[in-house]
Amino acid sequence: MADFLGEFEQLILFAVLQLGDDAYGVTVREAIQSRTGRTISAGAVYTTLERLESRGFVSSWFGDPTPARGGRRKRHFRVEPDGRRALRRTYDGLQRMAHGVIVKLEPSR
Amino acid sequence: MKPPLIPRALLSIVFREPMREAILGDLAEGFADRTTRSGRWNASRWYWSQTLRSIAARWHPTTEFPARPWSGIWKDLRYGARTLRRAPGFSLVAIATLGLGIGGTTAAFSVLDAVLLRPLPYAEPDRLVAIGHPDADTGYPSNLGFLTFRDWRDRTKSIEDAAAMRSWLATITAGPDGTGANAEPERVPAVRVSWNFFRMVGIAPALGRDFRPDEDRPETWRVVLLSDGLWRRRFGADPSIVGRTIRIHDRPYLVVGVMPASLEPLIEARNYSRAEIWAPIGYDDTTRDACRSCQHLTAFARIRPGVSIDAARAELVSVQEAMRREFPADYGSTTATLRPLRDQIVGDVRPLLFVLLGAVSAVLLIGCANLAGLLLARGAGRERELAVRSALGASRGRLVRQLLTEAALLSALGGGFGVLLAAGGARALTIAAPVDVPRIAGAGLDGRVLLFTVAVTVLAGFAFGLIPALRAWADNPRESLHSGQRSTQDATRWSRRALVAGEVAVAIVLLAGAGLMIRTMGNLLRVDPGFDPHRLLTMDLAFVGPPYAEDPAVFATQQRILEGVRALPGVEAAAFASQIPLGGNMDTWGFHAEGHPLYGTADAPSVERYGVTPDYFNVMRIPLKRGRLLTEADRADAPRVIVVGETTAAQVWPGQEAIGKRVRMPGVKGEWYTVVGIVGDVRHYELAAPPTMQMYVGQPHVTDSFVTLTVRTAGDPLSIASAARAIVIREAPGVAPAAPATLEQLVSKSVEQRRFAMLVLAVFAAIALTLAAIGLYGTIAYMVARRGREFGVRMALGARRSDIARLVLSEGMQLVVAGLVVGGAGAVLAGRLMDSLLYGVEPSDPVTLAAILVVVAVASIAAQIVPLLRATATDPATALHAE
Repeated sequence: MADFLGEFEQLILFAVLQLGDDAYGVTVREAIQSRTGRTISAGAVYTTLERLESRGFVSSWFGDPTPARGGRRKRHFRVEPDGRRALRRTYDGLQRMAHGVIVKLEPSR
Repeated sequence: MKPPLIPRALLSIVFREPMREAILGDLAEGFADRTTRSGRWNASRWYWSQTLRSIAARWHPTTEFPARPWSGIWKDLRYGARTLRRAPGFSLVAIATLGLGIGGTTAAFSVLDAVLLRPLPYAEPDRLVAIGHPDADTGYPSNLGFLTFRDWRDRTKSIEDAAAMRSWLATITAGPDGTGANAEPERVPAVRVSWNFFRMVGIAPALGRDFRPDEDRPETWRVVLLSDGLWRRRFGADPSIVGRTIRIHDRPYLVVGVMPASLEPLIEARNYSRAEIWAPIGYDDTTRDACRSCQHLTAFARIRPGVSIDAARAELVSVQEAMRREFPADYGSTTATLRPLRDQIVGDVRPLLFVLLGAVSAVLLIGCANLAGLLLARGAGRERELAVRSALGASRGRLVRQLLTEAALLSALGGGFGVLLAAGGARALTIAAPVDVPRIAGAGLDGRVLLFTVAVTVLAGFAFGLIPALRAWADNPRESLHSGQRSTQDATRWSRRALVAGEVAVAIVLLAGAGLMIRTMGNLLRVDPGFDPHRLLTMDLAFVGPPYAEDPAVFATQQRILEGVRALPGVEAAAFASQIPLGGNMDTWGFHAEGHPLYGTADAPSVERYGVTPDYFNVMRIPLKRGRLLTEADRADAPRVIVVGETTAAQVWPGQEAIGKRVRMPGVKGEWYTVVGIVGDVRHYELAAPPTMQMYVGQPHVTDSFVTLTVRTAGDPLSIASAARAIVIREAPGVAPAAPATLEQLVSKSVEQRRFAMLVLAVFAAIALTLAAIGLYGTIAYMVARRGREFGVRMALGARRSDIARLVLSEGMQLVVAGLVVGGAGAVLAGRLMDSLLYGVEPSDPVTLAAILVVVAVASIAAQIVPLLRATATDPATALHAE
């Protein structure tokens, strides 16, 4: 159980991976939003990231304060090796389940 | 540009560091970005939505907000309605409790809103102030002289416009151009005002024109504006009245206009009477009454835009400071002050209205606590139902929403019922309230008040729905299908106990308020007013007009009326007085005692003056202390004598014999009067105010045109009223007597505000105590039912009935004691807040607190009796068999 990820957790981890050094709340939210069309809240992003961090899947650190943020600091995230492994495993499982049946999801021709 | 404050505060509460900084930062960034791209409104909307969804995500990050958050709400509502129908008893009690609470609060708020919160019905009312010399007791603006008014107006820069007002009485003796001369003269409340008064407050006549500056002169002031009511009543709403003359006191007055129907004479009513006729003041420097120490005017001003109240007051004070140096003989140490007009008009009733709103809100609060308790108990009973629904796939959030929907449904029904009650309640309050509450007639249901009702309804729904819903959230319903229910029931029990303790506390606060007011009323009714108010009839008369131009003519008319009234059957004695105690007048004279250090200065004592006929002391039963009373022998040609009150004698001549001393009044140019007697003090302004300095002078020496006829009767004083009135009309042509009143009515009127506060508090305290007792009963009964088996086991093991009783009682008494501690502190605090309504009793009065202790003890024992009997009647065998 502990080594598999929920769907939302996968989205977040993919986004963090993709953003690299630029991964923090705003960019993660926007990445998910622009690719999936889902509006998500900042609270959801951080609550999930914090849970992932407590499981050792991501780590975080604070950057410098910026005026646009009202003098608050950015909180950056990075995916840890355990996180990569868990994502790999979950995603593989999903792919295997989808194999061969994906066509059935297409609108009937 | 900063994001909206409220969601920011919510986020700070919900999220802890380090998440708080990150989220607030992210949202600030997004907000700034959206503000530049799509404007502040859209950015704010986005921020709100992010906030609410973030808070929801705090517990459920993966369940995204449904695209349509209201989907399924109909299902919830239908389900809720079914649930409520299934328990009609519970639902009816809940709706009635809520309806009463919400209705009462709404009614109280509608009054508070109409009287205190709404701006005065004048143009830019926030710039209007009252100005005057400070009142000795309150420090608020009081009367001033005409020249003082004129100089303040001309010398202050922060005052844009100012107007003065004085009392007046208009007896209409004939209609336009002599018509209606045969109709009975009508006494109409009136005032005289500076010509610019209506211009200053921003009200224009509906018909005709306003006063002109040249009409505000001693020789030209006989022009009038009529109220809409008077115009319709007396002149048949005839528009041609404008430009014609009517006769007042048998002199011609030109009608220049009619005021709009919407005009409410608030300033007039607060200071004098609900005026229906206005005339210019018509003073100039030479007018006899215009002097600086002739303090008989009230004054109002409009402050320049942008000038603060404090700045205006500071300037006025410094202007008066300079005038004091300029005219030391007129002012002595007299200063100046200024107060917002709204405070001056409604300030006195503020504590009363807050008592009212506080009392009904407290009852609503207790009602909500009771409902929360009921819902908790029901929630405990519904655990299985919730568990089943949960097992069938309903999420915890769904179940909580279901519970909240039920609460919302209940409170909406209660709110609807409450609005119905409030419509009647507001009217009942305007009738029950003391008559002198300004603007109370405007109380009623309107958009603002209904908005308040909606807010209260939503809050109430949350107040009683949230605790059970949170309990349901904290419990894992699935567990209760199989495991024991101990833990959740303990938590539920805890919540209910806290609720009941809270109810007891709130009830105690109300009881304390009621107790303090009852003590106050008791003290007031025990106050000796200094005269005997029983079987006393009073009737105000004004001898004005050509027949009464000379003092001897007035005096002779007075004598004829007294002779006629004395001859009436059932009359013991009759007298005239220029003013009577509790009559609402104020007539003080400068009192210059021979050899007194303040003789001839502006700081000489001011003494309340009563111009009386000799029988007055006998009529009022004012006791003679030393010397002699005024007699018929003190005629106009006899030496001038006065009788003084005990306080006057003691303060003006401390340690000396007052009788035989000489005094000049009202200024040092006046005649010498010799003190011949000392009588008991009377309470002049109100029963709660200590006696002032008083003195009596005979009508032959100072003949008054405005007098009160006082009659001591053998039976009901009102029974001779019409006969006395007929005598006045026969003996004094053109004089219209005012409506007769008994002195008992005046006494009762003077304690009216406090009696209203007492009634409100007593009624609501009784309701609060009953509700709290019901809550206590419910908790204990529930406890006994739940632990019946345990009691059975205990008794089987040898516990006596008294042990069980102690167990049950200690549970209840813990709650009561907790409530007493919190409520006691609240009671002392509430007492402080209503300090201005109290008389002769401290906010932390031990007698009141002790009485409350007894009342609460009795009520709480009564509430526990039935469950107690049931607990001790437990049959061990039955209880164990049930196992």
